[in-house]
Amino acid sequence: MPSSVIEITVNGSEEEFIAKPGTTLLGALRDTLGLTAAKRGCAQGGCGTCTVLLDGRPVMSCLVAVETIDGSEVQTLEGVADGDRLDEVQAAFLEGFATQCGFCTPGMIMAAEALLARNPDPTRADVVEAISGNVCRCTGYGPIVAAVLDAAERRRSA
Amino acid sequence: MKVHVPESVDEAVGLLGAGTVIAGGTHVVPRAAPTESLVSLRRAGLAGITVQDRTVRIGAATTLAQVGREVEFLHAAIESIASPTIRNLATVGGNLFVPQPHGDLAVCLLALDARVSIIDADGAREVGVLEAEGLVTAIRFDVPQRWYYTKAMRRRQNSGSIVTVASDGTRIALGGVAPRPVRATAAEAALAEGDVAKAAELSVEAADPSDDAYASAWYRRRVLPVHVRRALTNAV
Repeated sequence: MPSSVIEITVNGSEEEFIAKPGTTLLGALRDTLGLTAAKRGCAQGGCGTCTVLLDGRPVMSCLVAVETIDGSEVQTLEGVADGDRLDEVQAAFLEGFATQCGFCTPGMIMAAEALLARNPDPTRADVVEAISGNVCRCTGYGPIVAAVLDAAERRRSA
Repeated sequence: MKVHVPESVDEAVGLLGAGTVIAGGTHVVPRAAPTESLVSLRRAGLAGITVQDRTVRIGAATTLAQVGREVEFLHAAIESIASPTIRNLATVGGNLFVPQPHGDLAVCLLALDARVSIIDADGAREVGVLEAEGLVTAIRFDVPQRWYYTKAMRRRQNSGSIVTVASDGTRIALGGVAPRPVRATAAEAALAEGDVAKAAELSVEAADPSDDAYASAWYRRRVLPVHVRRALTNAV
């Protein structure tokens, strides 16, 4: 099996590594680069907890063969906080008790980051649509939607 | 297993047979066997949308998200498909091949009588939506004067189709009710006479539904006429 050398930028840092054929972006992040915020839930694009930003757009990293995105830019939850300082979305999730078990949280936050980058003043319907690919099996959608709206307001008034 | 990432269409054609062709990979990647090679079209230069007069040409590797942003009359249909995180990966070409009850854009393209450009060992040619095979490079269709679309789902978002109806007021295409998207020809004949109620009733003739997690075959057949009638009386 011929492996490939892959170069991608992750959270602003250039990473070069060897990937076996068929390695997913999620697998590379977790198992090669040690970035374990993105979770492996269903591994078939149904749950969204592996959501990361690929060239600025939210995608399910379990569906992306890493060999096909050589040279791309990836942002994960690890790159969201500024050192120990949480960003508005993380702070709103924490303070609004929007985490519960926490398994869906990395994907929820990245989907929310993508929404707020594109639309700083979303409606509730916009938020619901943005996280429609992200499943919370604690069914804590109410606090999650409220936290994203709260984060939008914090960012606008920052 | 090997993942080929051709950088041009010519290179991709040379790799036909070397693996399963993927673009977004949303359907194939999670199902690929450990021994299954893939040919990704992500870098083959097949993404992009051009509009000339009323003719829209969409490259096969264009994401559904981009179609939703740029082709206004298809916006509602695109929004009914999966989630934004899937639509940023899933492509127009791939949508032609996903099994029902997915592939709602293919239902729209069937109703639009879209022409599909394909390339295989016999060269390049244009075929209909249901005849697509080999390597799809692009799809073209004319923006219709009228457009009708409805998709019945278990949830408002991110759910497979129970019944999908797309029509330009002449052709009627159905999704969710057969192994592949189908044209409801008997219903089209009734619609041509202006009889929406009869078109709705006759749409069942085109249906060959299955049971799945979203709905039973019985339910799909039962509600199909309702959704055909609703679609045809709610023009965009």
